[in-house]
Amino acid sequence: MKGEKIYQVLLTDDEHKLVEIVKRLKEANQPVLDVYSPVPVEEVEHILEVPESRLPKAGFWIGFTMGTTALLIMAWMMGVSYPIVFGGKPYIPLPSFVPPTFEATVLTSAYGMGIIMFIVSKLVPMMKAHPIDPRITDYLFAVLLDESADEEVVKNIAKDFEAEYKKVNAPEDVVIT
Amino acid sequence: MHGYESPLRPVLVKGEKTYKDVTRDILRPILGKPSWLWYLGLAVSSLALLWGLYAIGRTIFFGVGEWGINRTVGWGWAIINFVWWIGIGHAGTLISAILLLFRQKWRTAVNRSAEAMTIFAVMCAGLFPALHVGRHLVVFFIFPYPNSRGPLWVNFNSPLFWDVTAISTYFLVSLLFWYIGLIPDLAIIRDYTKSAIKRKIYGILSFGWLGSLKQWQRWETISLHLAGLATPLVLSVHSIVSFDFATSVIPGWHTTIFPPYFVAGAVFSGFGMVLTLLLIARKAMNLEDYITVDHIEYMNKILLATGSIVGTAYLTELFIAWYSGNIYEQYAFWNRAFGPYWWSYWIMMACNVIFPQTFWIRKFRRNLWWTFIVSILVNIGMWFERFVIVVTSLHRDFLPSAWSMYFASWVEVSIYIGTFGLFFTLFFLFIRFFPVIAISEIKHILGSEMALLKRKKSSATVVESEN
Repeated sequence: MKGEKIYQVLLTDDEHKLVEIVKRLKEANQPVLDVYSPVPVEEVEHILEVPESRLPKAGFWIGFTMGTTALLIMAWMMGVSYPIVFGGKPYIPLPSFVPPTFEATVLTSAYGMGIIMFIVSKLVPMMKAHPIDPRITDYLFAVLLDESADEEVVKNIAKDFEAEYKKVNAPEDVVIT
Repeated sequence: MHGYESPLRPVLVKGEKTYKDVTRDILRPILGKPSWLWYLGLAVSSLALLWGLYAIGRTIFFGVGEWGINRTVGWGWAIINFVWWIGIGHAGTLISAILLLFRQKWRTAVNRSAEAMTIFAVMCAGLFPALHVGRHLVVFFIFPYPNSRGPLWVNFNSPLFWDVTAISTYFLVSLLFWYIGLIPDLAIIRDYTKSAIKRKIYGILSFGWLGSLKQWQRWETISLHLAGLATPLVLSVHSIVSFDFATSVIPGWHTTIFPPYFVAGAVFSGFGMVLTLLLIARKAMNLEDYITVDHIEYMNKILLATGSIVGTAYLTELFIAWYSGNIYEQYAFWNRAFGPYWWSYWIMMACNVIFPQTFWIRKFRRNLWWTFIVSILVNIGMWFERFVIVVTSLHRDFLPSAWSMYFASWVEVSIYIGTFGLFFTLFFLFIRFFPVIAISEIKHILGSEMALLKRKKSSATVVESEN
């Protein structure tokens, strides 16, 4: 775990207010470090111009590579390593390879994406979580700002949207990139 | 982004709920003490599981001679129960994957428990191929691993091998899909509970989830793409199961209609089981506001659609048997309906074709008692469908001197009871320790649902004032 830092936090229980707060902070040039919410808020992703996830590309290439590998291994096993004639079928019966190749592709693609997501999103079994507020998984939306952000501007925005303002001490890895 | 919302659509969450209400309502059974009914249910299912384990032990120790199978009917309850359980496991992924791709919001109330049922049902199904092979100690021969027998590889032409790959993939992908969906909800329990032990356990299980921007973005991306992968997967699994029969040369099995017919039948039986269990769970756990009568009606519509496909397939089989001019094929179907196992055929027809047709009428679709009865009948009917396919096709061999009858032994029946024990033990543990409804997904649709509720209320007020 990395060292601890002081952050400024804005908390609201309204999804629409969260979107407006993030918009205002962006207009005021106050960099938002992270946003925590009980549900995904796609609008915030657009405002903060979060780049699209590359997980699907990874999933495609993993599936493609492993599916091809499975196909080649089966062809080698049946055509080269121990060729047997099954009911007059050719040594390398491509139509018969379709179901296992498909399953290998789906399985590796799904688990490839899953494992990558777990690693890059810092989701590890037994990982200790440090939520900046215990209510953020239940009903509160939180905006995390650096200590260096203009406190007065941030407090004014909090006041305008009736959001709770506080400073918290949290580990640096609370920000997930 | 959410597109047009029809004002005619019923609101999916009853009552004016906030995020806090959703958390409290769904976590109540997990954070509170279980009722005596839960203990009773768990005890009965655990006993059934133990009884099944005893029967499995006997099968492993003495061999499949303990079963009622014979030379003519070499596939009995093991394959019937295997296909039946796999079929039940089809509703979960259909709800979570296909309905997600079709943007069906009502899936959010039922997807979690249906996915759990999928996983448990596939575990039950997976037992049977391992048990029916006879030589249980070398069951791992089915996997293509480097060995000292040549190396001799598995036969990749065999649908039985495809089945192994399909079932394992289906189980593993469904498990991943289910667990990724669970992580945000487990984090809610971690932060919500006052018990230090529970906080620790759910902290371990929730993988350090915080609900940050990037975590949600990746979570949504992976959910959508896993749904995309699981959709062809769910269709492939029962197609491959049907190949076990369709690629043989037995009259009654050797038909091209099998894959779509099996897939529709699987979804049909899966929804039957989901309805049976959810109707009990919504009542016992006070979840009527989330699993509403509208949800039940949507599922009944799917039951009607898939039941009609299955009924059409039965009739198509009969027509093709007649139209083919093949006397063996014709005899197989005549024998099904009027042979010694005629009762199984007519139970199947009544349960699968006749009773679900009552769901054309709205009143029946929305009647919970009738739905409960039909859902059980569907499960019975689908079990008999597999019995009809397996036993009636096999017991009249090509050689009349080999004709035989098949009756299951108590060991086969006990293993089947044992799988019920396994399924329900896992299900009881699931409803006690995990949220039965996907909290985050309900919250995600809550905004639009509450807006719809307000619109409906205001339009009702306008109509009232105009009158």
